[in-house]
Amino acid sequence: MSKKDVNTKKGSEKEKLEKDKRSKTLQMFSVASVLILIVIALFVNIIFDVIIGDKLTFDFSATGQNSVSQVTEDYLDSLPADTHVRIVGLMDRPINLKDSPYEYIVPLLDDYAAKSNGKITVEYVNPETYPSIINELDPDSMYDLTANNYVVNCNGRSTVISPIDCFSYNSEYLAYGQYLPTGNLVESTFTNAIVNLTRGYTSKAYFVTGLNNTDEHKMLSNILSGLGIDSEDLVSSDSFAIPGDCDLLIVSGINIDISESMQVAMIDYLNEGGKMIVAVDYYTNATETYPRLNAVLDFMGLAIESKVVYENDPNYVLSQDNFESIGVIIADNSPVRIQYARPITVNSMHSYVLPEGVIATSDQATTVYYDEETGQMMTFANQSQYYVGAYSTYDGMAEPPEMYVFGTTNFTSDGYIGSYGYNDPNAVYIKGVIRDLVAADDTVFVDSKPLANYSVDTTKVTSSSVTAMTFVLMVIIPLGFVITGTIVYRKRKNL
Amino acid sequence: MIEITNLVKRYGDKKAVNGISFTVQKGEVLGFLGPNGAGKSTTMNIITGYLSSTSGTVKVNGHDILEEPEEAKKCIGYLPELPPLYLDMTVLEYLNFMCDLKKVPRAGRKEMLAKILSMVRIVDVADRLVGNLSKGYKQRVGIAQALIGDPEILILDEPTVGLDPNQILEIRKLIRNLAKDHTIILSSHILSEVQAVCDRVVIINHGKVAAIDTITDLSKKLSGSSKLLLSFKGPVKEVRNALQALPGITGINERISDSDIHEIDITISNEKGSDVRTSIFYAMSKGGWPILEFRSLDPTLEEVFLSITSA
Amino acid sequence: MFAVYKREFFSYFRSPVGYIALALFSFLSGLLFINQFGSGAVSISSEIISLRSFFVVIIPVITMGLFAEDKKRGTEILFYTNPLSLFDVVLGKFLAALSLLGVMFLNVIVHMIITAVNKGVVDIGTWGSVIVYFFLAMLFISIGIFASALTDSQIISAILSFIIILIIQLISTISTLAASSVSSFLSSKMFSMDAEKVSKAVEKVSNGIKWLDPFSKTQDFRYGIFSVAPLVFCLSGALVFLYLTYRVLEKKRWAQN
Repeated sequence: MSKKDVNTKKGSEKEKLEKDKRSKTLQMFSVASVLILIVIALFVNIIFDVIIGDKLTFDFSATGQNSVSQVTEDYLDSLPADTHVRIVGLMDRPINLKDSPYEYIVPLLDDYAAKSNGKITVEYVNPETYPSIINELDPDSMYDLTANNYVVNCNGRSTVISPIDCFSYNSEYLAYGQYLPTGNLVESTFTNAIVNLTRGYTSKAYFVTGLNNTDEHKMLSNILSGLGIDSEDLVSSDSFAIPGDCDLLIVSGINIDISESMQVAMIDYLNEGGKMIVAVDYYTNATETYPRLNAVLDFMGLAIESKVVYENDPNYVLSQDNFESIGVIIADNSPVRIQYARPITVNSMHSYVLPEGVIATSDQATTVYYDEETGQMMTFANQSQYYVGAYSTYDGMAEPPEMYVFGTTNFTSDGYIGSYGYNDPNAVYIKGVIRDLVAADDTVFVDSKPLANYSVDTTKVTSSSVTAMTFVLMVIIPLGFVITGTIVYRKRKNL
Repeated sequence: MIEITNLVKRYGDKKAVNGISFTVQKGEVLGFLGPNGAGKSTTMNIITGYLSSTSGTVKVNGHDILEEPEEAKKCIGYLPELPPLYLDMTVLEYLNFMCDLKKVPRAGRKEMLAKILSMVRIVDVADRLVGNLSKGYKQRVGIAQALIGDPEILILDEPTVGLDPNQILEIRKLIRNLAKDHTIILSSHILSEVQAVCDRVVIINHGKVAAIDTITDLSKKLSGSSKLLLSFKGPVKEVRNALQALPGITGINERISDSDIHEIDITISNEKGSDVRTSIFYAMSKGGWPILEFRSLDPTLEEVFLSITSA
Repeated sequence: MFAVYKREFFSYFRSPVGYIALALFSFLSGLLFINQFGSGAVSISSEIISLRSFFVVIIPVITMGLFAEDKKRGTEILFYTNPLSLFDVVLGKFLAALSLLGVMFLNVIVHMIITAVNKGVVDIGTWGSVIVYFFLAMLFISIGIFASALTDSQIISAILSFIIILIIQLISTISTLAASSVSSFLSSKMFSMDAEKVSKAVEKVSNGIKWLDPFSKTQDFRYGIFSVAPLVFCLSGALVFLYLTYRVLEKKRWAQN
């Protein structure tokens, strides 16, 4: 290259540098501004997260979850000024409440103390550090006081409440091996305990157990307790006897028949004007015919059949399972939910026995039974209406026996009430039944709080309504969009 | 009024635009000529703000396109090389969108659009989908878009490309009409179009301004002076003497000499105000020599263009 | 900006794209809702949260054309040669995509009404989930728009935003992976730090990465616990991406190649 060329080259390069300045500065500005923005964004975020953080967090969750309701407050106010209720948590005071049941318990108990004007105290004493607390609360070792439970103590009597008891669960949903809590019963559990300890129970119910019962009737006990009725287990045995203070005998969810001595005891009990609730379904106990239980029922003109109701009316079928359906309360035509229900026959042999059906199926139900030989469900009867709940009493007696019989456990089982809650039509119904049988004082009844209890009116979840909804939401609406789109597109294409 | 000073646009090592400067006066129609790749579209893109120059300034009505972009762009209606059309809208929808984009007030919009539609002759396709239109109609929609908001300055990049001869004439008529109260920059390949419509012409080559002048002055400059061709019947010598005597004639060359018909080139000096043609006519008429053909020999714009750009 | 917004929003409905997206969304959300309803308990929050996991597909689809198409069609020039700011353009397109998502969301509103009519629960946590849904949508849409501005091929833009959103959804998994690899790296002979320091460093790294996860930041909203910080995170993230988009568009003017 000649000198001239080199110079020109150098000259044009210099030129290049000068003229590139503008775009280079702009490039730098661009990159710099983006980086600065990112830094500012991070900075702002850190400020909000770390420094301001919790102050700008607002808890709008289930209203009143951390405070007691008016019902409890009124009751506490009604107690005499020298009442002293001691609530002791047998644990160190939980600090990390998030995502644990204590989230709903600890603040609420503090509110009890706050609103009680000194009548209630709340303390946390860990029995491992202070073993003497057990003795202090339970000198006679009557109760089973273990760590991580709450003890409500008043007038020398105690009630033990475990955090697990404070929630209702959806037993069908197993999340990571745990039951999913669906209802917040903390206040109802604690207030019931306080009511019963300060006022005492007005009545007592006994549960017949030891017959392969499906569950431990915790929910029903809670309901009874809320109505001021104490409950206790009566284990089946050869020397079975019904205590004199039994105001209500409950035979629920048994899977094998009662014994002869029990049969005799129960008939005697009824003769003396006893009240009974019987609930049996057709599930794991398909082959059990309950002859002796039916002998007791026969005393009241009722019988439990060894078949199961199969609903055919799609307006009644639930969850697309013909064994799960709507039962109608005859008295007011309102729906309840029944499942694997045995039909109850009503047959009065004497004019003074007054049995009547109280809950019925549609008139398109059939009954089927399980044939052991073929292993199949065989149809037994034609379509008609069946009773799945019945009531009977005697006429012309001062203190007549009364009995409610249900062919399904949906009114009494932990599984059902736990899933659907105390406000479900079934639970409401059984409460009415109990009030009917046993004069109960339930002025202090605290409803469960909505802890993510998302159930809908389950009686509306019929197979026909679900099908209708599926059709509308998943077929009509999307199709509507596609069709509109095609029409619009076609029209415009040819414009 | 548009002022462009020392515009440079570099792409890597290459300079697409290398120091272009010119001014467009208010009410002028400026033609932008140049071979493909000369930098016409790039320059227009820079003027309208689509590209930014590596160096140099563009001032539109006193507003620098970089410092006051919104004010500058408000004055400009631009038809780019590729008309920016939304194919999924109808013509009216598209033009309404452009109205929104240019912030044209709602009041009076309907009348304005009707006026534009009829100006550009697209009234009968107003409700058709832009994507369904022929190239000619699409081009005219593009022109319509530039007219929205009645901007003072129109910059049109090859506005008649794709149009048939009838449509071309219409658009030229339109541009001439618009020229009355708009400032227009028009870029084209069709020299006759530029000749027909523009006041001044800028010829660009290799990113630089090769020539900038009115058309007549350009061709005059190229040839040095004006030339006329006269074909007549009559004695050459006498005609020659008669014409040479006329003022403003600097030279006469004979082309063809036949028995009867002679053709001579007459060179006229560029004196202001001298229209020698009338005096030549009277001279020929006085002499009784019939004029068979009498025309200007000035280089056409095409010749000017070719000579400038082939250099 | 309103001009761009109006045009972009209606263009969703001028082609089959908008309708198909709406139909698919209705079908999906209907499916989720009916499954819950059939079981007797409906938590709209969980329906909304399940729908969120489809963002990784829905959002690239609705944002892929927003800038890429303009580039291809040649209409991009309109944004540079008219009296409006490029940021207005970005904002207009952003809001159009967000509005489309809003229209899709009407389905969920219908489900809420059905639930309420059937005595189900639509509690404050549900509204919390709604808020989270839209703030996360804002963040992801801004990412989709950014991807669309980078290329003129709709498909590449869709793939790009798909990848980025996927990464964000997997942040917690990534943080665990990062934790274990950092841990083995630091414990290796090269650094030979003692175990406690290693685990502390690893915890810091994994927490640092986890902090970027918008999903974990916003998980309390479904319980009715509203906190401002996560919303600030989503908004600022969206702003950063929108600004980046703006700068990418500006760059086109000054490009030297």
